[in-house]
Amino acid sequence: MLERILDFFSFTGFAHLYWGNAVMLLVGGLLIYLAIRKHYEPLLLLPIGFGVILTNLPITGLLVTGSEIELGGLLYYLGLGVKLAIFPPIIFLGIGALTDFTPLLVNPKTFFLGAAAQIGIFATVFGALALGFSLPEAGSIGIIGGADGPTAIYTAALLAPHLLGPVAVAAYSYMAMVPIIQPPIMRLLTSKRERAIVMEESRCVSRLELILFPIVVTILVVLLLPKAAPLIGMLMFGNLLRESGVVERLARTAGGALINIVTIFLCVCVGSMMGAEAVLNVKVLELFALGIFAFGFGTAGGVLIGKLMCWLTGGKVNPLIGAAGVSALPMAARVVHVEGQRANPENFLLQHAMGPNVAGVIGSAAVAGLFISFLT
Amino acid sequence: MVVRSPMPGTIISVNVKVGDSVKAGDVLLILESMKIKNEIKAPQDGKISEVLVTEGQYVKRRETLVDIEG
Repeated sequence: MLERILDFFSFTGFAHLYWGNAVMLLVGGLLIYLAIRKHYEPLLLLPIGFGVILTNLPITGLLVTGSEIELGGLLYYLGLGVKLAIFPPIIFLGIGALTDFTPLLVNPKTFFLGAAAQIGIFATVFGALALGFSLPEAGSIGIIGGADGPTAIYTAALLAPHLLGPVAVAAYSYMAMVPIIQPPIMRLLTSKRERAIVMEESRCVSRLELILFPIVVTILVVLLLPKAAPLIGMLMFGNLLRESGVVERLARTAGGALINIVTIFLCVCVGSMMGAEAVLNVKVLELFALGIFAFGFGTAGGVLIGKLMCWLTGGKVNPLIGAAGVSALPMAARVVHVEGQRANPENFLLQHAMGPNVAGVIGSAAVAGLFISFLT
Repeated sequence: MVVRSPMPGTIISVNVKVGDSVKAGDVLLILESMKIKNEIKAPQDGKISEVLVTEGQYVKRRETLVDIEG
């Protein structure tokens, strides 16, 4: 009888569970806790957390590689959307359909802030190389500093697929933790007087400009960096759907149902890449440390260029908006707004911060294209 | 004096009605934009002469929200 019970036990997941799985189950639980209790980007962290739990339950076969002869696991097939770099451009299509580029067109100089915040990416590449990562690995880690989940996944899938899971989780975790990571850096580098600066609106943007913007950006950026075409192309196509005003149904689907469906699959798959064996090692811990350095450095770079712009314009630019250059749309812009209001309750920086924020999305996608062109 | 929306968003509460007297700094309404609730305050003392928005209404940037007679 006892033998039969032991026999049955050996067929259950309990018999195959080891300490690494237990640690990762706790990590999954923590992500779900942060999503539900703390409201840290629940749309991302909840499915990622559940994916972590699913993948750390032993002998489920969810990730078994499929072949012509044998059927693979569910998460293997869903994960192809990540590994083949299909999901990130679709997410970008939706982001484009949801993004209003007006703040960037109203104040085109904020484009420099979006570009400045990308210096964190380059600084981290050197840091990763110094720690012994290869050039493609360093590029995949550095791109975390762009604070753009789909871009990080896209880059890692093409440059260093074995780092895809940790890179994706680091990028999404840091995006979710924007309200914790950024404010201390912003306060350290600015005075209260600078943070209190109220920015004026400069001009109105015509409908023609809004329609031409995605077309012109696509042509210019893709001619310059052809490998950025999937991300930039889809981002701008989504935006054209929105701004054209004649395909509202398509714009609504791209920015609604489609992006929601793909976000569910993408995030569960990202979580499923966090198996204990893949994550619990020193190299991955280094990657996480480098990722947060990249993010912090990008924030600092944006704020410092913001300060320079503040000085050059005679105090008309609030340097805080530079922090929004690290993509993380629209979380970084929200943080800028909140910090601005802390210094001056009459300060509404949200729209002004959206300029560098959307520029940051374009900037990090362009850097991804640069890395894919030169680091492979 | 007209009070305009500083950003696009949804009006989630209107705290004044026509005829109310307000002081500078009183909260006229709350505008939600990108999950942030923003208090829109009276820029000066006066009497509300017109309220042009209702709860749940989406407003564009610079759209007139309230008119205050000073």
